[in-house]
Amino acid sequence: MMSASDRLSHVLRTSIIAVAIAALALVVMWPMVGSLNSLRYLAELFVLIGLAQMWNLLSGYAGMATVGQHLFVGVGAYSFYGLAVLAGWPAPLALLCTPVLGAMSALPAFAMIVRLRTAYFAIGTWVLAESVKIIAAKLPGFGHGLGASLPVPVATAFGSSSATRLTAIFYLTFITATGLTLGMAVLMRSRIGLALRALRDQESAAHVFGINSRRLRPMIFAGVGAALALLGALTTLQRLRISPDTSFSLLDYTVNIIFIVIIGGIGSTAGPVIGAVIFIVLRESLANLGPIYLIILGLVAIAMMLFEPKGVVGLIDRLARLSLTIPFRRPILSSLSNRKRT
Amino acid sequence: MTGPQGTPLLSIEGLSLWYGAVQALWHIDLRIDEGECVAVIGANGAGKSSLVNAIAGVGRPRSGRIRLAGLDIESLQPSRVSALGIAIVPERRRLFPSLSIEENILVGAQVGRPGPWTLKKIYDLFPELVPIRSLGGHLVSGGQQQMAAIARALMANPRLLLCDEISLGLAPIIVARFYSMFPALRASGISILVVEQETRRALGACDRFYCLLDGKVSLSGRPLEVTEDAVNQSYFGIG
Amino acid sequence: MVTGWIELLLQGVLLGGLYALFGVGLSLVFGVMRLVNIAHGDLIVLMAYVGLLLTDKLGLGPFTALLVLIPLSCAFGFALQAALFERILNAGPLAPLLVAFGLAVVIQNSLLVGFGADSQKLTAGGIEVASLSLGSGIDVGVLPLLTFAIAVITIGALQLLVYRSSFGRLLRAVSDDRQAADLLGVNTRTIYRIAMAISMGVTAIAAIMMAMRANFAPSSGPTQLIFAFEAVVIGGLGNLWGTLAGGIILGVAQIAGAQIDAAWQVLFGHLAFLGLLAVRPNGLLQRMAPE
Ligand SMILES: Nc1ncnc2c1ncn2[C@@H]1O[C@H](COP(=O)(O)OP(=O)(O)OP(=O)(O)O)[C@@H](O)[C@H]1O
Ligand SMILES: [Mg+2]
Repeated sequence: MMSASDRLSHVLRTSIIAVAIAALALVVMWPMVGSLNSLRYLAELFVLIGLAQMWNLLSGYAGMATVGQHLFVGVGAYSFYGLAVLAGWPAPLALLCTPVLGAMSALPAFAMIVRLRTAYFAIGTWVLAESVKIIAAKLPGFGHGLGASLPVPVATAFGSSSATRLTAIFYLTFITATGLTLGMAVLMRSRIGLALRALRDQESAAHVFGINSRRLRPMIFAGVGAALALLGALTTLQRLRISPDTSFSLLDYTVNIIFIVIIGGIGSTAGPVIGAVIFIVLRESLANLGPIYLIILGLVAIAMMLFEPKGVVGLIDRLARLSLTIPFRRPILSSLSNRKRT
Repeated sequence: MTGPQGTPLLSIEGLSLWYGAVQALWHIDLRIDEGECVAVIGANGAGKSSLVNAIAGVGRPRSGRIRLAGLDIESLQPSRVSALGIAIVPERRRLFPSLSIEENILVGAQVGRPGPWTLKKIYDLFPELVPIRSLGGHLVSGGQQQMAAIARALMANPRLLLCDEISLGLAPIIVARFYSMFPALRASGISILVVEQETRRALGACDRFYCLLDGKVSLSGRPLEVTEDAVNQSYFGIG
Repeated sequence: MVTGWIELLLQGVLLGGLYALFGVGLSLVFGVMRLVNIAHGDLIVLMAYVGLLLTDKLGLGPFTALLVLIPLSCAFGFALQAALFERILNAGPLAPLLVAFGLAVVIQNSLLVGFGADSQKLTAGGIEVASLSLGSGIDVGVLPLLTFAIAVITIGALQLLVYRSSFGRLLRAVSDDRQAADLLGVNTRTIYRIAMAISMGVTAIAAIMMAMRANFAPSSGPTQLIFAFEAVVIGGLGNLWGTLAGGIILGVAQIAGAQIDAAWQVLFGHLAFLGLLAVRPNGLLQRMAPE
């Protein structure tokens, strides 16, 4: 027998899947109808979603909050430049290799700071990021502190006109963001997801799920490093240049991302997507406010943590429960994204 | 001493307490008169610690009253409750590991209630604490830790002393010593509530008792007026 | 040649005093309530700007300004704890971190709106440039020396407060086991508020010393936080003198790096931190406890 809330969440699931399919069709068709500017914004949105998913995976699920994820974004950007420009590899091959380099740099990074706990771990990642950023400015061939532009052959490798280039980037970022989001959803339903949640609550509980917790954390960390590096390379393709300050930007790849996840909802797969959309909309509508925009964002984030730590996802759950007289045993949205296998 | 019509030192009426969605205490009624020693017995998880902690002001009851000499205290902060004269020897002692034994004892005095207890009197009561006074709280034996925890509570100069399983994990000879102190403490004007899983000793030392079962009072009375069978039944909930 | 090296070493050691001042406030708050205040660096910069207002607008000297700033900063810390942090401390380890993070961004950008992005400096009427000869050709700056002395005095005073006073006893008790302290009738909420106030008092001292020594801007906070953090972790969590030792190691490493290239000053500090973390994961000195 299905209870009322089960039935409702079943209906909701079906309709969300339908909406998702419609949205997919729309996205696939979009480059044929949308303006170039819209392609730019959407590609940026997709990158933000990917970045936010990864921060959420580390901080919201795996209990490894970081304030230094710009490290791996920058590593990705610089590896892409190194492979495609300095080593002269074909750009698509270079792009495919950046995650490998990201994962390879994540493991020693993890080893260095693994002994720091919670918030100290977070600041440890930051110190690493700042160190690598300084080193990046000293590397020969990468334009030092000023950075370097992608030479024309690399810049046009994915399309010679801006329309084709933006379309290619649009699809690449879309596939990446969707892949990471779906990957998160699948991961969280798997044994690893259960072990992660157990690990977050209690260090010793993960072995219950047959998962070696000492290997799980570095594996997750390396996976996140790989994804972030890919996103860094994609950003480089968008911006057509690298530099220590922009490729390792604390604000763009860490601060804003943390706000996105807090506002969207920590610990849910839908949170980063919702947060990224809100972020872009807010930024575009408050663009002329300058620093005041960040003050507002900071205040909203603080208020969220104080009053609705599950972000907009939590708010939606609450509203859904309020608007229905049926007493819910499970929150709707989080049950969709977090349902444990029973 | 208060007569039957006087205000009891502590009176609890209809106390209910929840942890999230789980109810731990159900409409508890309990009374301690001035100078009395009252035992609360019950099995693992019966709600004994929840009850004494609520008296000490930790854990907000959902409903019911706790009165100390007629004054409502159930919504006061624990610091106010202890200033009014309730001190606790917490379950498993809870000494502060980075404080020395003496510092641990002095923490009790921070309540600032005037009264007879000084470090000197404590060391007269427990001379074996003197040589270990500057050792860390976790480095001494369980019996010594328990002495320090009792000393800490006494330094607050309480009217009502709450003892949560002071016999836990200790040799019978040490436990006997703690219980043998009770008459003197009571004579000095301290009323005592002892929580025990081990019924016999508690019943032997106290005037009255309450037995908790799954968060409810399953039996209460004077030790001599009830049979061992009745106690066992209400303790384990069988029969 | 040798005197040159000794001078540099001395510079590094003295710089370490400043970093220790950054660190002890952070360390105290972490020790007592397990809060890593990510806004610590921005709070230092905020207090530097308040110090700037006091000297510029009221015409106070930097040390008179400090006497005004310390109580102001303490009151601010008390209020910050009461209004913000104590509402979130029980919500797990991530929530306080993120609230502090939001606060950091709010402070930074508020300073940007209020004072502009230009960097500022506190003028101290000549002692910034004064130097003292120690004989055999070794000179040290008066201001770094003074900063170091103030750091030693501050840490000594905190050490006495924490390990010798009855308030310090409660501070350590609450740090060990807040629930037990609650049960015993310790007013833990007030202890937390006072701890944050003390931390902000030290922050005021750190802010003025920093503002006289170097340029600062609204965006300087994160760097100060990282230095504070490195000094604390190198020295060992929960050990105040350790933080001084950590600050000194950081300072010496930075001055050494600066000899190679100005940009390597900060990098050498980071490398010293990461290197030390690899060999001594718990820092140089242990948390202080009875023997
Ligand atoms: N902090 C808490 N959160 C949730 N449930 C709790 C908490 N403390 C106690 N409980 C539950 O409340 C019930 C009563 O617990 P309590 O500790 O009061 O029992 P007790 O009689 O003292 O047991 P013991 O003899 O083991 O000390 C138990 O079911 C316990 O699991
Ligand atoms: Mg108990």
